[in-house]
Amino acid sequence: MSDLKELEEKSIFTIREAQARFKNLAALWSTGKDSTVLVALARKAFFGRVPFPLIHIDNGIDFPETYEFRERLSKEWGLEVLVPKSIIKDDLSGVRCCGSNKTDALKRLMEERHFDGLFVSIRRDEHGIRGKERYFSPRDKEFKWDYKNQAPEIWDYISQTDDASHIRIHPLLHWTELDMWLYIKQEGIPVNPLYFAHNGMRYRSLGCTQCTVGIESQASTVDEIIEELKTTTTSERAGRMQDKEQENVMQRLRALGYM
Amino acid sequence: MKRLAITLLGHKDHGKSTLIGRLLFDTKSVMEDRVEEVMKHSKILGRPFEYAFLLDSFEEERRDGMTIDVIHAQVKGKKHLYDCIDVPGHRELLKNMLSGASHADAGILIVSAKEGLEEQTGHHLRLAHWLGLDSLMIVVNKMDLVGYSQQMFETVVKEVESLRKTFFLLPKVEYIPISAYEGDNVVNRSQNMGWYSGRTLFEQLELLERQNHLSELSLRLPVQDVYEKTTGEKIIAGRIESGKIHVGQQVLFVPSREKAMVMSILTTNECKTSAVAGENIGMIIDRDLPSIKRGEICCTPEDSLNVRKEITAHAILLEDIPQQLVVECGPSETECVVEAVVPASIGEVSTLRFRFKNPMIVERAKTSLGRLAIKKQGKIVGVAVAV
Repeated sequence: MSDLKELEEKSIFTIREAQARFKNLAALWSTGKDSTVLVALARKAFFGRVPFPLIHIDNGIDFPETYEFRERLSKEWGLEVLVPKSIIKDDLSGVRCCGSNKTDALKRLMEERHFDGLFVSIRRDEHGIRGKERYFSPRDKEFKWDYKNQAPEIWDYISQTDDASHIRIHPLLHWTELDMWLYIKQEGIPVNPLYFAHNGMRYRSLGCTQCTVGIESQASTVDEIIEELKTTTTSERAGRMQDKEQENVMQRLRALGYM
Repeated sequence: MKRLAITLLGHKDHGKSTLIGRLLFDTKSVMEDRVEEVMKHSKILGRPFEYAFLLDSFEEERRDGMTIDVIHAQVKGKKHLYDCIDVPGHRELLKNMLSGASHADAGILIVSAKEGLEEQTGHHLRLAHWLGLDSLMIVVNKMDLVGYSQQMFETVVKEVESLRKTFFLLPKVEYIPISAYEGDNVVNRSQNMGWYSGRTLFEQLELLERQNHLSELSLRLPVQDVYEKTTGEKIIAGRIESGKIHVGQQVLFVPSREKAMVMSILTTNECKTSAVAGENIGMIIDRDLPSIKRGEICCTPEDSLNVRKEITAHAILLEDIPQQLVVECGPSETECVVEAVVPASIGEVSTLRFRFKNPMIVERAKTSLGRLAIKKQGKIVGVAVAV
């Protein structure tokens, strides 16, 4: 079994396990490469049809390319996309922006629709704090992550607790950034055009226009991105403000329910 | 490149996180900005560069110098990609330790030359055996703190060997004297221990081979779910735990004991004529069998796979358990009554007898069908392997 095939098998098992165990699932879809790969894997797991809705939290200040890509792919793949609006209150960034706006919009939608499981496309290699996550991770009513006392997850067995408002499911936890691009290439998965260099700049990790900073790059194809990543010395989220502005920001964000 | 999952094992503060940090650093498996971040944070806390901070990312972990929860880090080798699993060494964090170590193919037990054997050294050694790890390496760490003394190294080796002998037989293991902090014999050969001519830890890792004989065993395909297409056609979904399956083959489902023929095998969105252990497939059979649902196990008709009303297993309990609870085995679950045959304290290996309310398939195997989760109100309170 090839290396990518092994990664894929683990993810498909996790996605199907979630579908078998939970009544009402949804998946976050930022239109970024990771959550788009997750959607592609779900199509594979369920033989062409994604059996749950996708959530794109819209704060109104995403890039135009993001909206276009969302419309194009949802038509092409027959996806049900829910678009809760998050309201930008004032000129916030990092903890306060992602914390209060995006997470609040998600909370409202989750309550309205009674979702008991939410797929989130985080990976361990993205950030030290994300490295601490489990595949199935309960969140309480306030969406808090009890990171100091996580439920055990041994072999393929998971813990489901009564006091959880929902379970976060992370089928891509074991993939690296390079794995994602190798898989995108292998499977021919469409990606948001913002990843490709334009005038010597591209985005390596996508957030909204407020917290995403591009990197200098000439990589304008998937192959060129793969080559770039093989030699890079900086990490993927170097252009994301919520990871940098202060020590331990990501930990506080995640404890508060950030994706 | 093949992936290998390696768990660290050993008493708290013997250097598990520091060793993985050193492996990451010396194999250049970590990005520069991560190193800078750790450098900055080490400085804030008034310490020299802490390799362990490449793993310990919680504020509390760094402040208190201890690993609270598991983290996986990828170390790039020449032959393998190593998924190094850092686990907490504190006994009270055993649930986190097992959440990491249960995913490993092999283990590295770390023993400090300065402190010698401590409580969790023996405990983790027993867990490694219970988990059935394919191989184990033992590193004697902190050699820099004992003047790189050969005598100190040999004392620790002797202690560990006599401990190993007391509870079970294991194949021969390699002992490597290292200093994770100074980088001796981890990736680079030490200049301080001329008396040691064996391999570095990294060289030893590169010699590992992942054991994979599951495809050669009997067919076991636990039904994970059944999907109905809009055309009414049913797809039976599951991961092949062992063996192989091909189109045209007769199969038997247990416990329902229904027989059928495999009409098609769908892996993801393509059709295949056969599939092997490890693959998640969809299967269409030649008849509509309403009894086929999650929990049924697909095998071959000549197989003697039987449901069990009771079984004996070696268990690790994470807390005290009531006599009546729920156990899961692969996709099956049932209420059951548990009785201790050979009791043991929390976290140690006990022998338990399980009497199932609804009989299920459990067998002695290094697959999901040989491993059980003991649950109380949905939460894992113990795990067991069938014997």
